[in-house]
Amino acid sequence: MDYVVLISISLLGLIAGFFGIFLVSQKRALLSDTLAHATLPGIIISFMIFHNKNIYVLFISSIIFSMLTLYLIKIIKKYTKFNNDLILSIILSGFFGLGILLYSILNNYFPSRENASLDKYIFGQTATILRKDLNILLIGIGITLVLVLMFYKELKLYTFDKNLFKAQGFSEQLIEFILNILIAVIVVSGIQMVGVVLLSSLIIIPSVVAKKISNKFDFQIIISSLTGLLGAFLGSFVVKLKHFDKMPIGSVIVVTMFIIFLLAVIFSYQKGIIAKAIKNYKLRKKIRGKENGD
Amino acid sequence: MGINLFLIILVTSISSSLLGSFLVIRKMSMILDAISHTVFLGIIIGFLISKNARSNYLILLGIIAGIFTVMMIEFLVKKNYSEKEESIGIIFSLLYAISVIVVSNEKFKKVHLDQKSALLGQLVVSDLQKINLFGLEISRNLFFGIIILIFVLVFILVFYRQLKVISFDYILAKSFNFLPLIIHYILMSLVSVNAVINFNIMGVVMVISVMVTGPMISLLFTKKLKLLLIYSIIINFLTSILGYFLADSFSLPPASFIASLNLLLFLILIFFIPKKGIIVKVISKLRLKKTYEKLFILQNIDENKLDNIINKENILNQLLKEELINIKNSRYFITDKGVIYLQNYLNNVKL
Repeated sequence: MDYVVLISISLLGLIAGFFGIFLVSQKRALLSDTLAHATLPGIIISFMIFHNKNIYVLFISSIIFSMLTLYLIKIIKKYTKFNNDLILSIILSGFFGLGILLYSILNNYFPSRENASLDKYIFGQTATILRKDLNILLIGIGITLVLVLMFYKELKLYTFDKNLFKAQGFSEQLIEFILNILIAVIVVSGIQMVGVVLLSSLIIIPSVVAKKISNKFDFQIIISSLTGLLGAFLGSFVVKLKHFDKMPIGSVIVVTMFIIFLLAVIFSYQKGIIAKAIKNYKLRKKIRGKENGD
Repeated sequence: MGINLFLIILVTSISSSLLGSFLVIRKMSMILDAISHTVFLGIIIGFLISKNARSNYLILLGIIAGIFTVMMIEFLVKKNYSEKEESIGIIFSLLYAISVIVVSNEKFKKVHLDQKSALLGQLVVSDLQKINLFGLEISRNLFFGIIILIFVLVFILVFYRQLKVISFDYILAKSFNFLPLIIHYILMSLVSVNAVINFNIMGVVMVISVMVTGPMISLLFTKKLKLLLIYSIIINFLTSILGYFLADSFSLPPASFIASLNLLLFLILIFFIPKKGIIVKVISKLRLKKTYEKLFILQNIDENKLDNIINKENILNQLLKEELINIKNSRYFITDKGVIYLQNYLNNVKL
């Protein structure tokens, strides 16, 4: 495994954690899972149109298709009475099925050796990451950083208080548009490394860890990005070891991140199991002391 | 294409839509997403124990994995370690990641238990393994499909009242002493079995489509539980059969065809059905907005409070055309017709 893989997977972890905290704080964690599945038809249609000639064109058109999917979800949510979960699950499975259908149409009717390169968008193939893919990821990271830093205040306000956000006179449509761009960029740039199923965990787990450790949003962002970076780095480091070298990196990273989550649940300074137990013990002692004193 | 395959589709679509209906009205469809992914781990462990891809251990451990998933998610939520959505994301990706790691081992290369078969399903292959039952040769998947269908039917018929109460009011069910927890876990284990059986047929993602789409479409048409069950069976069955035949004639994978057909049907219906469709709603909303703007202008035309209205020229022109207002010395006046229009509207409006 060379350093390109290590660098790109760590950067992916970093950026997924960095942005994930916004999604998780808005209680839209599973949206990332849905989009990871639902982006597949977009990728395959883009491939059908542009034939892998230019990887950047593929990237941009996939982002556009993902954003259309996000708007579809928004429209369905606005105009029907279906619960959020239901809409997500039907879009997830239906679009994934559509993607697989398009993929088999591509294989049956337009067979070509290039088609196999689409496999990585479904299952994720970290080992085959090239400089080009790293460039894509860097572009994605650039877009994310610029947008988040530009609209940091607005995003933060929108995340925690939509009504105040509207009352301040900010445009809800604009911020939704920016959020959608960000989700789509991260999903599309990350999907080929870890595959459709595991992408959401890169977004969710670091943010949950951050929420366990701190209550301040600014800290949460830092912790979440660092957790993502650490998990991805350690995961790809494990795969470098002797007996583990045939394991798929994406899955190892998810397991690593889960271990970090467990550690956070147990040892977190404020909300961890141990901290709570100590607090309870002290409280009990205090109450007993009072009872004895009376 | 054999009669077996037709029957498999029939049987699984019935049990899927029955179970799916209860999941849909209990709003637990994302837990279904988690279960359908994690039964993969159970199937793999079953294979590791029995060393045989056709063993019944696969089904048993698939069920256990499904229930384990539900319990883990509920544990995380109950202990306040993470919220529900987050727990679903964490648990299912962890278990799925573990199964992908295990499957990457060399042993699994021979038995077609890999990520590809898990995600895509193999409806055609499922016809091949036969079982002898009372002299009749039926495929193994059909056999299990029929058994699970019988279980589902018995469960729903026996506990219909309880299921109904639990689905709509969990606390009421608790106070009736309906043992909601036990019924909840029976339902979840049936869902897991169904996911395991469907795993061979549909693949882990498209199972969700089969279980969720029928009930969701039926919810557009009815609010009665019995009708919901019947409609969703019919819808599911039709899309499955149609999807299967179309896929067969174009030689494409049936599972993905069925899922796409489901999605297409759902989207068409929610956009185009009369009264509840999105397009009708959007149009009526726009019309209502226009009417209100018109009325507002008519009411306030003498006092010139019209600065807040964005494209008032359009509306004013239209009002002029309908002769509801008049223009004199570049000032607008309401006509007699306009007054009658306004009064008519205000008399008819229901407050």
